[in-house]
Amino acid sequence: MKSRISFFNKAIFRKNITRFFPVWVLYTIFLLLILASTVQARTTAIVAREITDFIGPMVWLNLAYGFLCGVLLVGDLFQGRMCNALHALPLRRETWLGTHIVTGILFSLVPNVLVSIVATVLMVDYAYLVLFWLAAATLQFLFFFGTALFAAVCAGSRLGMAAVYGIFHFITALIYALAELFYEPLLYGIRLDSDAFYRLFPVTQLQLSKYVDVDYSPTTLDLVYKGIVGETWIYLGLCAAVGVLFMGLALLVYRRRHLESAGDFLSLRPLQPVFLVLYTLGAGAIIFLFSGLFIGDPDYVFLAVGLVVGFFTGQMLLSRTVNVFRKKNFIRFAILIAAFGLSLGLAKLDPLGITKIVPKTEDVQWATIYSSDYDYYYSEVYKYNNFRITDPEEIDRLQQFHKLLINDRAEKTSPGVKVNIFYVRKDGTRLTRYYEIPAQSPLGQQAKTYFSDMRYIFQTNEPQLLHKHIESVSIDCYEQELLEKWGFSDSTNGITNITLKDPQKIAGLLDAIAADCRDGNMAQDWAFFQEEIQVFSLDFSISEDWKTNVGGKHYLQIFESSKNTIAYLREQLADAL
Amino acid sequence: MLKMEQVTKTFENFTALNNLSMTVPKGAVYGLVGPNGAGKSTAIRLLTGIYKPDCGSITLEGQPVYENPAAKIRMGLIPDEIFFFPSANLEEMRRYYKSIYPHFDDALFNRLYEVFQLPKKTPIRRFSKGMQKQAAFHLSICTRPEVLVLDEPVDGLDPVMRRQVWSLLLSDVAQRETTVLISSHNLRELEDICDHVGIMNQGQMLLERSLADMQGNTVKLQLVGDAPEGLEILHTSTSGRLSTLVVRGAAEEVTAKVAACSPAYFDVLPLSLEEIFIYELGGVNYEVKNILL
Repeated sequence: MKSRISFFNKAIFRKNITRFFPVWVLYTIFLLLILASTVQARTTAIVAREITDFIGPMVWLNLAYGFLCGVLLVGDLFQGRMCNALHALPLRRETWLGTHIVTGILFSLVPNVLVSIVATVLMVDYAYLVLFWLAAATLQFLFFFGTALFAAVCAGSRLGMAAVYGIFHFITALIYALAELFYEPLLYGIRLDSDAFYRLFPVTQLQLSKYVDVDYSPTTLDLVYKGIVGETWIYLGLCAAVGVLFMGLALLVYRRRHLESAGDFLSLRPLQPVFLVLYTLGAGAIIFLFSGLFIGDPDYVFLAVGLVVGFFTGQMLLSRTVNVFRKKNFIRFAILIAAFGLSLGLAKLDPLGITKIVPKTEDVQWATIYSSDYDYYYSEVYKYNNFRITDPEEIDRLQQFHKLLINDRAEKTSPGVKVNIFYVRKDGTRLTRYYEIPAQSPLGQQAKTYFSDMRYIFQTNEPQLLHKHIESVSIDCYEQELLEKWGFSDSTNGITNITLKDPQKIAGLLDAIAADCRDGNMAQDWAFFQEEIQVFSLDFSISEDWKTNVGGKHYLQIFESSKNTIAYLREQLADAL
Repeated sequence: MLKMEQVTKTFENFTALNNLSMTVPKGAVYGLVGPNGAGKSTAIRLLTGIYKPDCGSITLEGQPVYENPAAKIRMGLIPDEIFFFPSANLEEMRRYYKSIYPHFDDALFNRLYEVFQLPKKTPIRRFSKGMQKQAAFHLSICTRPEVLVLDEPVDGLDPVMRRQVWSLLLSDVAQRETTVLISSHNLRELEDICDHVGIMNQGQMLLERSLADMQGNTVKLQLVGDAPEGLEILHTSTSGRLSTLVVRGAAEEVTAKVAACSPAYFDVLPLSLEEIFIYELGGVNYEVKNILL
């Protein structure tokens, strides 16, 4: 008769608590010290704010502590003798791992609760914020601890566990880096969607997200609670659910685990080729990039060296021997390189014509075009861009421009201008393309027209509508001739600051800017004006309401070709002075 | 009865056990012997439910052993490589075992302190190898197992302590009819305490029977003259005119056959376990080579 399944054993639990007490006690002390350093000579409002701000960085602590708890509790699997001794005891594996899971959760929960109690006592008014911290820290830990347990049962050694854990949490970054480094340059017009990658990169996503919306009251300087950021909590909840799922997977893998794998790098055989491929490509990419640090542009010879080093050191780790230079491994390496080369070739040749896709006019709901120097956030820009082209004729013109960009591939020259085109199809699908073209080329000049569009500059085609929201315009002049004329020739910086407050004059200025926009001479990328001198800069003081709901630029550089604006400013400033 | 049937265990490309079957009768003291690498330790890890067999079954009184605490709670194991929690002392291990094994005998544990005289509060990892063996024995025997599995149990113990351990073991067998499986290379000692023997080689069981049967079924024949035909001779050596033969068969049967040939001199002697081991393995190409270094 088989014994019934139990998921908890008091003896193991007690042993875990006593055996690893220095760890959870030190963790508690560490958290208390952080709290103490936060509390020192600050108001409770500031401390409460810092506690909510600390939820994001807690990710790094939980990343490390989750791993530590996993390796301590399940690390006995990595030592053959200990592993055999423990598995000779009359306990099912479910009992063993189940007890470790409970213990691990308590290793985090108990210190967190203790620290929360102390924090609550110190600032009773903000107890709810401490609760948010407790909830977030616990959910984060569930995620990291669950994945650490899974890594532990997949690995045969601590190093292997660290590798699996690291791959799990940083695989998105690794794949993104590899794709950006090797594939993106081959795919003309295609930029990787960093948003999607970061969504799948919880370490960064959880760290950078805002969890609770609080702000200081301008009158009382108390902290005002505005609500939780639902999106972040849903994401965190999903991560915690993934952590719990991985605890279940860990149990399934552990039940099938061969104990004799103790000491191996990886105990789960299907993971070995995955590890080897990622490790090889990762090593290749790292050595390739490092070569760039020393010799300027990275050299592909170093990529080849990195791939060889990565593959064979990976084999050494997996087989625990340096004797890996065998025919069988050379054939595997050749297959890996051939597959990598083939994928690069396919990216370059684009047999599916992905780089040439331009949506049909009738399929497009709206489109936009924008330039951005913020590569990191480029895909976010469209969200804040109200320059939405919906007129079919305009969409058609944009498509013609897009086709020219595809057909007249331009070599990157400096200074270049970045052109992003974004379509939303009627079926809801999206298409983003990115091109870098010479600013002074015919295509560049066509792009300049788009980037001078009043709708692009101010997010509206109605200057008078914007006018109501402008309180004043601060003007800096850079032209020496004008400055001298106005008696500012001894100005140390050659710049003076004049503020335009008269609503009529501001309206006139907007009309002049609108005229330059129509002429295609108001684009803000310096690359378009490399031969020109900047004459003015305008800093618009716009209402918060407009900034929040409409957006757009409130700082403009006026170059020589913006003739209408310059003429108007000369006239107005001469009067003003 | 602890039973292993048609068990195969492979480690990557290496077959450690190949269709191994063995039966340890209830109440028996079973000696598992074999050359290094024969698969004894692997067999023990399978018998005690540590390893999962690739195929075949392992049962204790009909119950499967693997992942079955009800069966494992009736077994005690002293492995060849002892391991305890890194900082644990004997008292802590007692508490741990006591909370896992419901039949843990506290009184016996206290009595055994006088026998082994081990320090209670010193971490076991600081013990010598022999002391660690004693500690393992101290703990295991107090779990009151029905089956005690010992892998090289007295390895590293001094002669006095070896006797002490064997004595404790045999008194436990006598009092509680404990079934004992012992793997050891010390055949002289096994011969004194075992009533059943299994000889393993290359992951297979060469021979398994009671020691009495084994010793009664193979004899050493010393004679001057020619050996009669019809004897199953396992090994022959000659010194001058005296030939020494290891012959399969009962002593009476061999005596009768040799006497019928009227040799100048003959004597039929029982074989020691060590001799049986050597001659049986000699038949499967595992013999002492005459190598001069």
